[in-house]
Amino acid sequence: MILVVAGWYDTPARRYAVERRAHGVRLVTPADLSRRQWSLDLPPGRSIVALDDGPPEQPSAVLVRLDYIRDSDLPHLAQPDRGYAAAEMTAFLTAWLYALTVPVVNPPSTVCLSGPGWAWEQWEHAAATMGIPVQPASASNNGDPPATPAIGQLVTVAGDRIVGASDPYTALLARRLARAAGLQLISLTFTTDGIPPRLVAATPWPNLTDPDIAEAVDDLLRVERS
Amino acid sequence: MILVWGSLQDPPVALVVDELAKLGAPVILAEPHEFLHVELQTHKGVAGFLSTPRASVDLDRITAAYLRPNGSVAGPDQRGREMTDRNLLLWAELTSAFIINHPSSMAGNNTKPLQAMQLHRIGFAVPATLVTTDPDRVRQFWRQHGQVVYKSISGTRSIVRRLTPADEDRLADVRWCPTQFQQYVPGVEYRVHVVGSELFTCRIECAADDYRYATDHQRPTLSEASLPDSINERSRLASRHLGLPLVGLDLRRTPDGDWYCLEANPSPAFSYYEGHIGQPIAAAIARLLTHGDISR
Repeated sequence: MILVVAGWYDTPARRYAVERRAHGVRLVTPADLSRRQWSLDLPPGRSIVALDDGPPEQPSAVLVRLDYIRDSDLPHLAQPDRGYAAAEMTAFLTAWLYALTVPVVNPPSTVCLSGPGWAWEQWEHAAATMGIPVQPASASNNGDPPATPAIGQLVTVAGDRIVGASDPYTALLARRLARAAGLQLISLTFTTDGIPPRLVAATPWPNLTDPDIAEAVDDLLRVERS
Repeated sequence: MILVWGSLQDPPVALVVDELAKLGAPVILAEPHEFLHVELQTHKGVAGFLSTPRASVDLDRITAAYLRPNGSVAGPDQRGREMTDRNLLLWAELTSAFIINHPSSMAGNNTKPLQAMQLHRIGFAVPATLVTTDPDRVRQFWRQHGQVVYKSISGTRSIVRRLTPADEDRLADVRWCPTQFQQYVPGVEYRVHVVGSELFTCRIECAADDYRYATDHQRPTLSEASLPDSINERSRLASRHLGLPLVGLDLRRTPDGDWYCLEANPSPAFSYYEGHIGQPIAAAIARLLTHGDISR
């Protein structure tokens, strides 16, 4: 059983899971935390879940495409309970993922279910520290990344694989940024209108409708391909 | 310059400010209810400025900070206040100044089972814990441990309660939301405040399951205490491992002499213990802020 943890609105994640259902891939949304049998035992930490009326088991890999669970993810709960339940579910899922001894892409941190949950300024700071140029943001000082250029280069790091880099130098920059953030899976956007390329955007949730990216994610999760 | 971000109405903040004044340390106080403004630039190092109604300071002049803002305060210009909080938290995360405590380290308290796993990995015994949506597994866990308590999983404050036969009918509700159950560990409670390398230990005797919410006839008795060297060392290790130069550890010693760690509080209300038994915790925090002895 391979889990894809994503919001109900995440159509690419749903499609990815549906297309690989025969290989044991299942989509799990926050509402499923009220519909399935989940358990975490500790110490030292054992995470199991029962899907499809089967016995509870540990998944063999997990892809996470959520930062935290929001009230709006839980429309099946009474309105006054949603805030508390969202916080409790986020706390549970973070620990549940942390306890797994199988590949979790990307692993949770204390502030995010998938990776370090960096704000744009943290990407900017990491890039600057490594000497990687960054496209200047607007002067609004509100954490918004710079506007993505019409023509940009989207580079995806998936473990050892790089998808979309036009040259080895950009691939190297992407790899270094992924390593600095502790992410196995990330898409980075660089400018293409100058040398060297400048970082414009970063997301730990790449576009799974791109066949090359989906195949790279398959490898990370060890999904068998037919 | 030392930044204190918190309200003077909050006793721990007031005590730290008072102790910093005794040391003659230059302080900029940023109270959450005031109009604060933060400009933050991160593309060339970490720079910017903080202004309060009384002062303005370049962020790179701040050498240390004590953060205890206790959430944003509602009021006019809510969006501006939220951005100020966000920028100050980001600054605290990125700066090379000495911070008590880094926001991402404090966030470990938002998932108690994760924190328990971290404490167990450094050698602390932690209570057997089950977090589940399966009522049958709760019953099994209850039978296995006899006495079981339940409490929140997240940082949301909850009263620790004992599971009783009266709760049987409500167990089915765990299907809706994961719920945390823990083996009840009998014994005497100890609160250890780690401040850098200094330790302040307080023994708490109380009949209630959660002494913070004890009724009048269960009023807790606090006294100065000392711990075995191995537990002292483990407490310092927890502080370092969790990245919390200031931490309040809740320990319990069983009648058999075993030590359990129940929780690590990253923003402890140490004034309660200082007020009862006079431990100079605020003074130690002030010294740590002025000298700093832990690097991240």
